[in-house]
Amino acid sequence: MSQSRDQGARCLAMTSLLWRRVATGCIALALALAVPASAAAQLVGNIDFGTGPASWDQTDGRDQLLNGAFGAGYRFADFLGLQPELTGDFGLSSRPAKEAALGWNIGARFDTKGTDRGVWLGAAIGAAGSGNQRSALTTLEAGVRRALGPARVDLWLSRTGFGTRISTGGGLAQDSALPDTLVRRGGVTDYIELGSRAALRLSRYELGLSVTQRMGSAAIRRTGWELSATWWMMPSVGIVGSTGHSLPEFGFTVPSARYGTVGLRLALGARSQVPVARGDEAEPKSSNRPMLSVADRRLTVRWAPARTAEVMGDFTDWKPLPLAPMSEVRWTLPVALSPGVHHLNLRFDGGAWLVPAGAFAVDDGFGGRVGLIVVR
Amino acid sequence: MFRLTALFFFLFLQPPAPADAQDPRLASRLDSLTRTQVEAVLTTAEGRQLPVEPLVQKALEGASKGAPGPRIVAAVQALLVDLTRAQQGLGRNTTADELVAGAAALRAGATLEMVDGIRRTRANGGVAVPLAVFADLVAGGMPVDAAWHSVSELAQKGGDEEQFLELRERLRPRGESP
Repeated sequence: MSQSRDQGARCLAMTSLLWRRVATGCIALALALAVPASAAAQLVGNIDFGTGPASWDQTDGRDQLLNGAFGAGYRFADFLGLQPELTGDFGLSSRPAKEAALGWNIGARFDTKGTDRGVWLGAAIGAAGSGNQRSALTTLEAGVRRALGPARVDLWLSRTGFGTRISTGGGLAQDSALPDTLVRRGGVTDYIELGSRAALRLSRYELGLSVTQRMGSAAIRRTGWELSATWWMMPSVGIVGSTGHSLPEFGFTVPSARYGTVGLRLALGARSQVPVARGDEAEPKSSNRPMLSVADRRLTVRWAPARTAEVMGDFTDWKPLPLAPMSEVRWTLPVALSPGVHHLNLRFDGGAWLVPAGAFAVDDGFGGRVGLIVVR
Repeated sequence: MFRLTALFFFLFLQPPAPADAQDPRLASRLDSLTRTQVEAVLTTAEGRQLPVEPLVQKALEGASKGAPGPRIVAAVQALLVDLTRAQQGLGRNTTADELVAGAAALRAGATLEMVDGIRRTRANGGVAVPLAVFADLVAGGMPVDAAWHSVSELAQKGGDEEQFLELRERLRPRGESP
């Protein structure tokens, strides 16, 4: 699920050997390149490569821990007014004296189509463990989201259950931060998390804060958090710095930790297929909103570097349609517009719907504005 | 007997919605109550010989923007009122595009007299662009009277569409936030 994909990014940051991170990232990139992005569906997610200090919440934390994780989603075309997304996560960790632990899950998520607010429901199945000590796991998740201008807030509740009781016998729950009493009582069968995440995107800069409260018995009740800042050098490549306190990953043998990382973030989805043209790299000047132009009934948009650009209007029956990237700062509608008056809105990186410069801004009747263009 | 009478009225006397007012796009995007109310507005528009597609699109726009059903119905009804007024001001031979632009101008604060005046001034030219420029200038914060003065002045001079676009660019700085 989306939450665990974020945790995956954190785990990568805690990896102590570079080659492992690179290997995991290469697998992710291969997957990203193998799945074509189309107008109707697209791959989404982030891949992080990073390093930094980590202070494990365990008494015998001198073991070297190798850990890698990858999560991604594949977003399909609308279905019954919902936005379906297939999600997958894969994680691997090991210590010198322990058998490597492996975890994976695959799931589906349905998001309502509201642009400024919405709810989602998701479910995933998978397994985690090491050797013959493996356990099936299921996750159910429900959340709400709200966009306020350049900011977005998510709030969700999830339950993760293990098919068998996690015990001390294998590597399934080797979190020595857990009190022995818990383990002696029989371990963990499930836990519930309440998570929240806020993100603010301003041009090339992105600030994020997430807080997750794991609920249950006193032994597993923990709070995890992360504060991150990203500078998107290019639409799909950014430098990210983060600090926080992670939650123990049951099944991956990863205990909780305080950490700080600096690394590279690669964004999946809507990657530019066209080399950057000279002179297109500069952010449009004297403009605080995207610039739209229509020539020969072809719609073109210029804006600051962004990963995705979408349009919706009367020519799409008001369904979001990805614009095709021409460069890092230019996009185009792959079909010609019919002559006449059209209404439209644009958005970038899933943000708020905007009226571009070059379109007439008129009242949309819903408390916002919609762009009006006249095509000859 | 009362029940039979009520059933009779329900089955035979309730006016059915015209088939062409039932748009499959609405069925997949709106809840049944909202769809029924929007379709009633479409039926009214057809009776007034107004284009229904802008009304359908307004409903779809509301659905995509996450507006609640009553808000969608209110927006569609408001557009019907504006289209009706635009038709009154521009005449029955007006194109759908001109009606849409006229509705936007009326929504921005233009009066029927203003819309009628621009039609008479540009009897041989389109009014969609001048009306859209007016709506845009008002949306950008320009007072209605000032915006209309600029637009009507250019219309009286016989300005073409390019000149109206230049007027808009001159009066409303590029990049101004909507």
